[in-house]
Amino acid sequence: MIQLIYIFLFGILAGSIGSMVGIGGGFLMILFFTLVIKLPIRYAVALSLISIIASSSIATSFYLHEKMTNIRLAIVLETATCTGAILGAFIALIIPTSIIEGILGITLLYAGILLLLNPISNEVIIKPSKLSGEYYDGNNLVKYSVSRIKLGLFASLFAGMISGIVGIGGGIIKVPIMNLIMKIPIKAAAATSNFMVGLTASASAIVYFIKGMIDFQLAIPAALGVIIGALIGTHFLIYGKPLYLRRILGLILSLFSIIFILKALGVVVL
Amino acid sequence: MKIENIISLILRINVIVSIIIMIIGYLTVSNLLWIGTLLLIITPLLRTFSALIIFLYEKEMLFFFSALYVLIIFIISTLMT
Repeated sequence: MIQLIYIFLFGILAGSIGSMVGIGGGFLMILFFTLVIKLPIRYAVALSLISIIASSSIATSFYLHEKMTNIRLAIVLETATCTGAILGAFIALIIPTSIIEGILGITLLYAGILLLLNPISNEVIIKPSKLSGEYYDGNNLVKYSVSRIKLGLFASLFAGMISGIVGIGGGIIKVPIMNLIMKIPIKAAAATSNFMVGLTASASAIVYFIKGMIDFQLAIPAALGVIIGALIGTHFLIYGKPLYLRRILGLILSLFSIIFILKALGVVVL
Repeated sequence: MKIENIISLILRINVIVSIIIMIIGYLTVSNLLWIGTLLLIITPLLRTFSALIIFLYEKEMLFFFSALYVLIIFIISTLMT
């Protein structure tokens, strides 16, 4: 019983962080399920996927309502990401995972430092297109357009490849791509990433479901926890200052980068 | 109703219904537990599918074909695994 309460409480934490900065929070859940609950890694991954789906679905429903999710952009970028995931399956046969983890670690560190050192957003309006968006940040109407679409698509292709190989949802790569490369405001980037990570998680979760690797009883407190967490996280994203959100994301990316660099060096095994 | 509001509503209802079914399944020790979980798992698929239908309805063919491509890749990769 106490285990169920722990899962529920950690779900609240992971769900709020994940939905607030659009990273899904799956990696945090995997760490918790393996290190604290002592679940075998495959069961831990399966439960984390269920958590991502629940958290991202609730968060997306709120962000859509606030017009922060750019559905058109999400769908276009998803074409590149899922193509990358397929290519990743082939690349994994040629390049060792440790090298990919090292590249990911260094890239995340770079993105994390950029977000921490340049907390002032440099979003600019270039020219309106079908991918442009607008939303209310408090009482201010924020209008933005998407720049460097080709570069963003190319980066998303790589993000898909890397997530497929390393086994992550990809939110930690997608948000920096949208914010730093495509110059999309941090709130719209996080909300749009939330829309995308759910789909990636769903594709993997179905496989775990078919293989019977989902602990249904533990899925309930995990899902309930992340849903409550998502309600908290979405509140922070909708009403929070972009400056703080960029800093929080920068900090999370820096922490994750250290984990991936240590994994690449063989210091951390997970 | 705008595309965002329709998908937002579908998502919210689907997640709440899934969780309720899961809890009923847990309390009654029945198949409803895994049925609810499956319903939750397919929620993101449902939002892409809803977007696909709405893009078709609004004749935004670039986005319709993008969503269609994503769904096809999704189905193929699931079947292959």
